[in-house]
Amino acid sequence: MSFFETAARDPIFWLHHANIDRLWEAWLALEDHVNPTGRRWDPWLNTWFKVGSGASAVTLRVRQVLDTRQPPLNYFYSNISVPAPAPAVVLTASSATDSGFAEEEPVSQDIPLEMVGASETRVPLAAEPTEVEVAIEAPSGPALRERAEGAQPRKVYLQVENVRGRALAAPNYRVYVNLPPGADPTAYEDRRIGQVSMFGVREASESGEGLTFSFDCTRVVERLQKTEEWDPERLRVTFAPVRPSAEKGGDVSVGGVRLFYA
Amino acid sequence: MSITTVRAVNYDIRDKLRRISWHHPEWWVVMAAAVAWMFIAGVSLVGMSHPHASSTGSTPVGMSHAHVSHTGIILGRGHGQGMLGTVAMVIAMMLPLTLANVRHVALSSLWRRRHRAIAVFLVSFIAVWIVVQIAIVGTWGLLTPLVGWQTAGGVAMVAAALWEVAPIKRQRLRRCHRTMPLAPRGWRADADCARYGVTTGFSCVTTCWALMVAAAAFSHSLMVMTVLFGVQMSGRYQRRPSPILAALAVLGVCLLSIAALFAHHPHH
Repeated sequence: MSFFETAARDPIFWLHHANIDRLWEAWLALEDHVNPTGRRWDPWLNTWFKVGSGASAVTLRVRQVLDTRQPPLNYFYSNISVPAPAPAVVLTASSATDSGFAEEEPVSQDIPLEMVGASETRVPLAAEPTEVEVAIEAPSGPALRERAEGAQPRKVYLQVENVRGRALAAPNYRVYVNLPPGADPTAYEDRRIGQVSMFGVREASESGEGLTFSFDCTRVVERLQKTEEWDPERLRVTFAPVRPSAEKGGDVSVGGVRLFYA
Repeated sequence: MSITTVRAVNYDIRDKLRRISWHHPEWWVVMAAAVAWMFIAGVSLVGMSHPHASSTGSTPVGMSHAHVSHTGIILGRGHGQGMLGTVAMVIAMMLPLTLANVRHVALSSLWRRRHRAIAVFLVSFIAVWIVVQIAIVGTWGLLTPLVGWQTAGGVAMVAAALWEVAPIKRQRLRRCHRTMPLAPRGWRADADCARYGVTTGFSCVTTCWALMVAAAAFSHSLMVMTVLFGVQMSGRYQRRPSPILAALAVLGVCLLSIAALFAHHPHH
């Protein structure tokens, strides 16, 4: 599933994409929900795809496949009921009442993100967990100036940028912050801020800058602050492989890790 | 209006400008490009009012003095020659193409280093283009006496139009959008910004070389430069730019320039 050329050979690819189509039908069945129309959508509606090859190749435009009951599709879903909303996740240590983070206050769109720290070198993504340290500077821009002295940032974001390479040591990596040295990452799930998928990394590396991921790690940082495990001058980021490949090869690396306050 | 109201309005304006500068650290790059365009337009207008005075102190490359006419806007006055003209042209035509790269540099830098990082990036980027521009104008100056301006100009025009519809041009264009990781502080941060400027400059050269040769062929006339600049901006920022339309625009403005040239100097 990690490469464009072979992803469609994995049955889960079809389950995943067929379900997206079904969810669209479910969305359309709701009141006032319609497919986009009008001239400004023409570029999208006229986008064409060639399916198959040789004499059996079929070319279809997006506007030809909007109604599944019409030719050339001719099918309908037996169940387009709207899925139940996901249950709200309750984090026991996430109450903002006595923390420095103003969680209840919406982030002002007027205060720009400020980069406060970045890694100095590339970080290899191997078959074992790898980590990188980021030196953090106190913010000096409007993110700080607009607030009272000693106030904390309202939001903290981590960017994992320019992930490049051809050979994968693992299909995915979980990203953790401030794991104790030598710790087993699975024992610190409350410090996980997200996951980096290697899907498309090879293609993105060949044609350009690689893949970039952004994570909102405000709540994790907040929890670390409460337990006094947050160092405002230093951040450690760990990339832990999920199901690493047996051969333990791979040349994928992260170009940089960047921390932003808002 | 009381003094207090005037002060409040002034504060409001200053506050708005300050916030614009926070969100758009590339603002001064846009200003620099606008000033460069005004300089180029000014030189062209001077050419209209003083038909025999070349404000750049040079003759358009590959054309006789007779071509330096009162139609400076259409036929050009050799803006691409001389260091000042070259720098103005690169700033006017190329810097607006780098705004996304400039934002990447600014937003990936520590707040105190934002504008320094942009400056280092731009100096490297401009340096690449100045070298290339000098090479284009120099080669053109050597080539045209050998094959004649009509032949060389025609080839440059057709090559620029064909390049616009060539699939390889779109591949090259994608490289212009690339970002790269930048070290946060110290000499490594400056070195990374400089490296990014040079890399982006080379990507830009391999994408826009044909248009710049066409601009040189028509002595960097304001009309040709404006249309070619529009083609470049459309290719860079439009979601679905039309290669055919771009090629037609290139052909159209070049043919218009040739027609104007022959209208004013039928013996050519």
